[in-house]
Amino acid sequence: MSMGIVPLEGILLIMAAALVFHHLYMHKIYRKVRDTSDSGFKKEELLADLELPQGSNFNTFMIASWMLFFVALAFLFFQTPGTSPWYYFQAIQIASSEFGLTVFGIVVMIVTALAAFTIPKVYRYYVVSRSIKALMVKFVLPLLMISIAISIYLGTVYPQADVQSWDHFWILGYFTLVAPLILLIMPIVCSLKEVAK
Amino acid sequence: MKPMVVGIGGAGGNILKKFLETQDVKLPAICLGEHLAFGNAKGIWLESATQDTQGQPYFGNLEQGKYPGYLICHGMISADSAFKMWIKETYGFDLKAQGYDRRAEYLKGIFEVFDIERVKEMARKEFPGEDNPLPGYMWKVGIRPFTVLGLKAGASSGTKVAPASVSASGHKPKFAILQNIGTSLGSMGSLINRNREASCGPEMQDKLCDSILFLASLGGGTGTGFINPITSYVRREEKAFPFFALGILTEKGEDARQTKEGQRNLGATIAMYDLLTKPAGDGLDALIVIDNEVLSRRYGKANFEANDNAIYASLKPMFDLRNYPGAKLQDDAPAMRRVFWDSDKDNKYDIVRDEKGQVILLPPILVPCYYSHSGSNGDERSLVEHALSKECRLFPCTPSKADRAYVFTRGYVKAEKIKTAIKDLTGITEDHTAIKDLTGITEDHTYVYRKLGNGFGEDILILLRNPYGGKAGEQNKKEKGEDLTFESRVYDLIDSAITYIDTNETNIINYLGYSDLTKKYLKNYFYGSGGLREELNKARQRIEEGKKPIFIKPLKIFAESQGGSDAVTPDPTKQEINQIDKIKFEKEFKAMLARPEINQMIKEIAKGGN
Repeated sequence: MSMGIVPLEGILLIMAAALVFHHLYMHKIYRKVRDTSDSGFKKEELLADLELPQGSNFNTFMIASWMLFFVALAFLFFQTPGTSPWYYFQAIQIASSEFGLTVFGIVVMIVTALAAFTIPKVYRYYVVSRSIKALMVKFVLPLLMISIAISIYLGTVYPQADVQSWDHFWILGYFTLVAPLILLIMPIVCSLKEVAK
Repeated sequence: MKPMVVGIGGAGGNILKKFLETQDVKLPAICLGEHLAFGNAKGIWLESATQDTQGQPYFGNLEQGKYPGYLICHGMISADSAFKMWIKETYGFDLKAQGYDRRAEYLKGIFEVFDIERVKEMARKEFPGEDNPLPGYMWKVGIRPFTVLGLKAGASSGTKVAPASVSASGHKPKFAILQNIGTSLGSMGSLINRNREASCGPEMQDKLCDSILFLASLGGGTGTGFINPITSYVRREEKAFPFFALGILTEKGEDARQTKEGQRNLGATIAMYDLLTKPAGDGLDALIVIDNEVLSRRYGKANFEANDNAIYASLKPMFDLRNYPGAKLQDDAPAMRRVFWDSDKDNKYDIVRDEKGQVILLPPILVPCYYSHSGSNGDERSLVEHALSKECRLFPCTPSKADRAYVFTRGYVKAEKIKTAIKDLTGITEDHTAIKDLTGITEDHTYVYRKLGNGFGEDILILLRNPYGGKAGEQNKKEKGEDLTFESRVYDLIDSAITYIDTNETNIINYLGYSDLTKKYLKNYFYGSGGLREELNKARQRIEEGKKPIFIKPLKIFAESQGGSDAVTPDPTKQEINQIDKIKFEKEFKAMLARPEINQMIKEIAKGGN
């Protein structure tokens, strides 16, 4: 009934890969600029010059998306036992409350707020085309909401559910969590691909 | 460079749409912050016909707080204005006519009538502190609030700067609460990202525009008529603020969208003439020219959407804000203004003297050459070579004749290699043979502004300054009807304008609405001694002789003698000779000179015979 730690490692691996891609991108840009520049400069100067406004709509959606991503991640992996020694149902008073899931969600948001507000900073170093922006805004939030809904369902029926259908729903919940993550890191991947040409 | 883009007239508005295209995600009902255009540019559409602003969803009424917005230039004149009626009776101009009469001389007249002292006085009575209400309104309400000058004006008058209150057009009031919530969320985002436009506070100055770019089609409509008066007014108000104009010449031949060719060419000629004869400090800082004929050949006849896209794409390297490290201020507007006016002491071609013999500088003409490709090959010479090729020039010209090159690149290129490539490639003629006195644009006359690239390829924009002159007979260089030189294109334009003036006196002067006084002024302006026709003939001659600049003497329809102004307005009351007779006389005199016996007589006189 539990998928264990491997799927979580998969997500962490994607996030780590995104971090590596970002640093690779920055390094490649730095080298290209250094090779063509007339004068020396610090990496911080380059970072400042690379900044590009992305728009309030996009920024707001990205902050909301990352917040919701962490909530969806917590709901899928830390609501039921199997991934970590700490999970939602251990807090019996909250878990049995009418607003338990809401409180759980808010606590996750508070704990991950710094990350959710900091990660979207990265986008300002990329030229994100309007079509990619539209793709991100159109699909990330709905997919995450589906993932959260599935997690809530799984948490509600746990542990009384049929194992096979529970696993199917869990996989669907996992897919609807990974797909938005891939969309969220798409500007980094696409830009790295272009700059590596 | 962060320009306030002012689209004038229908075509100007259409191109402006491209410049203001949002870089943000479009949401169906609300906008969570301010409009974000490429390069943080702002913009406004100026129009004279209210009906043209209806039925289009993009621009909202700026006066109602919409952005992107439009402004009707006569919006502040009431229908029952006493001043309006007085102008109508005295001069025959209807200041509030929808769309006005699209003829260049009408539009020129309706603005220049305010050069008359009596008219200024009358205007000040109805519009306190304003002697030229039409451009004054456009400048103070529509343009200035979006520039850094708006802060100064807002602070001194205690009024709020417009951009703080404008919202994206088309938003319905029922979404106001949602929008406020969204804006608050957007503000949260901006705390971290600093991407959102600040609507107030110390960051505001950084977000406002440092220059103005006027966009107008030179097709004889509103843009053609407005561009000169509005630029003159802005310069009168702000002596040092950088502003530039982009003039788009319409294609040759008949055009279903436009007026007939001769009239269009007269409009374009007058607009270019007026813009280019205002010395430094009196008018604009540079005129960028694009020929729709070139774009038509590339994208097909009447493919205006593709043309507008091409124009916008070609100027993007200039507006890109991602400069190379340490080069942030190199291409800000005041710096660009300085280099556009840069001149050589020993330049024998573009020295112009005013009537007092003082050397004056006239605004430069800039021809854009643009090339882009996907990926990165790091070959600067190839980039320059492509950009300077005939296919990538947006106006016919001879690159080797340019006296300066301003290069904007996006990608990872070396500035020195760009300069060397420019020197090498402008140091050879079109058929790739080096000639003795052709040195090319030297390294110290090439300015390179590099941007960090758009991530999806490289592009280059080369603005060639004054790429014409220096050789006689260049106006005849054509290939299958296609102009090969700047001289050829402009010569034909002037020629067509002169023909129209010669053959349409009734249409030009005897327009039913004009008063007799206006008719006198117009007759004098067009046909009088030292008038437009005569000056255009001189311009034609200068092109034939390979001289530059092409236009020299400023001309106005109504201007009275003003201290400090070089504009010449012959007094209509002293005009005695019938100028049409004079034109006939000139023709007959030329025919007489062509006769063999007269020719023989002249030769004998030249030899010293009796």
